Amino acid sequence: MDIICNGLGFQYSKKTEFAKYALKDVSLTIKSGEFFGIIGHTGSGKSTFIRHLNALCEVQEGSLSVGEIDLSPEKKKGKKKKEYKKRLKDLRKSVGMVFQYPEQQLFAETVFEDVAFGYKNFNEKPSAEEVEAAVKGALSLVGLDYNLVKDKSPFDLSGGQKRRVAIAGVLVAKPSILVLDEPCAGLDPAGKTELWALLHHLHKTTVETIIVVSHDMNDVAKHCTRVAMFSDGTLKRVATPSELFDDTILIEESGLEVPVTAFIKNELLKNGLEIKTDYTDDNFVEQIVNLYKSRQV
Amino acid sequence: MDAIKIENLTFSYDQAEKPVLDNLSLTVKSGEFLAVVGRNASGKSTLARLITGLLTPNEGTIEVLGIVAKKPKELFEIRKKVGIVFQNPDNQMVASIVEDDVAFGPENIGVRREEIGERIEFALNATGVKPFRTSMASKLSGGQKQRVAIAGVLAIKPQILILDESTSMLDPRGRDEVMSVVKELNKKEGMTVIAITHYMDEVTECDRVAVMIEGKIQRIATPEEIFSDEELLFRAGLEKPNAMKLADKLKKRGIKGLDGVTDKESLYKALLEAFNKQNQ
Repeated sequence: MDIICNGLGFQYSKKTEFAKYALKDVSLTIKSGEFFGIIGHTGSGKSTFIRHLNALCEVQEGSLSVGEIDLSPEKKKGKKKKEYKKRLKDLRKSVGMVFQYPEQQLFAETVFEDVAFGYKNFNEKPSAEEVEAAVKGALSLVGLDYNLVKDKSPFDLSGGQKRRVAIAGVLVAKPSILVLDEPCAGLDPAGKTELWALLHHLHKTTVETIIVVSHDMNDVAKHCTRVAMFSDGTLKRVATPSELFDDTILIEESGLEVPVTAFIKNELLKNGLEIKTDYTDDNFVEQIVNLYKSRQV
Repeated sequence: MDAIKIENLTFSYDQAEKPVLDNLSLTVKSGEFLAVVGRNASGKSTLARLITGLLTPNEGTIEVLGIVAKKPKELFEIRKKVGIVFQNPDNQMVASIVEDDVAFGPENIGVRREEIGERIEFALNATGVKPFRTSMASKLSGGQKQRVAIAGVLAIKPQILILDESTSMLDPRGRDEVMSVVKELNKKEGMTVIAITHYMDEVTECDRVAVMIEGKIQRIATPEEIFSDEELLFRAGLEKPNAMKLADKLKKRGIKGLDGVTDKESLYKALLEAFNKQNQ
């Protein structure tokens, strides 16, 4: 399922005196199979953008389609309105959305019930066996032991585990696109590493496309295949991390920091020491070592 | 004088459960910048809530600036002297206009009207939020909001400031804004700071680091000592800051002189020197 948007624009409090463009003229294609990063300062429009992918923000200007589902404004007028509503359900089944601090949305008495809620929401009158199989599958995907956690209260789990349960509650609907807003915020370093590993595992096994909003440029350089950078409601650039971080000035003007590897590369360049790197740690180390060896007399 | 002296502190939310804090002792010096690190649920936030008197110990004593809170009156004294800033600034805002929000604290503890004005000025200046003192708090960015939250705490003139993951919801620029304000308060005003954090880059710049594992302080030492204790880092679910990880990898590949690296600036300087010296 490709995501294609053209000239997408959005105002909060539209037609009031508080109206303000949160998103303006965004054209972007995210292909099926990408591990796509979205970056930008607070208030840059990145959250407004991802909300469109799930129709939590309805398209006001321009067009947006997710796979076969066209979300453009004219599709929800007149006779098409009913059909549009039906499509919203398909859309929300295909695009799983994990918000910031998703564990705050846990509500049920047991982990089982919490995860099952997502499944029941998208499948009409499922049998008990179907629900159980789906919950089992989702929990094992996020690396939790079904028998160990199913009857526990989600509130008795640790922070990292709660977040996994919340993600399982989204995965249980078997989305082909998974969107995560700052999935690592508030996790300890070990939990963070585990969560990235989980995302890669999902990407390899069950979820076609992963879209992740992140503030950590080191993580973006390491994990994403392409990145979109937002600033003040506009899309500034779409590129691979290595192309993007070559443009330090643009990054810093947009209120972001470059990864450590890009910082060092730039500073060394000022001293006449030049390396080419894709900004991942291992490649950076390799390039520094090569330069060092080449200068050895 | 010690800012905080904790002896044999034990606490559990539910008496039947395993204690969240288990026979913990800790002394924080006056004017010190202490980082507290450890896994989620290792007891860090519970410790902060006990110090501010939001929770009461099951066993052991907590002495804050010479006061042991036994009666509500003493607790009130402690709360005047210890400020805490939580993770989400939205949970800590009480008024809709920035300066009203900052005034809430001193009004609440009964500061004289004339003095409230002075305190607000001080707090607004110290945190750099003066330019938007009459703005709606809800219209500010995360970093700005969190600085307003700190200003609100400063207006009480606390001697101890506790940050409970106060930067975790902010973007890199917001995080820098908040941390530079806090560092200045620590250096210039001599304010004691306890920062609970998951960001290892924030840890490298503090005086000492307390590493918590399952309700105990496993080790308390300088950042250099903590980050060279590989076994401890692993057990506590910690990682070195990015610059240090890179330095380690480069060291393994035979590049010398990278031992003192703590952050990106020192890594750059050490590398430059390694290149300059390599053929001498």
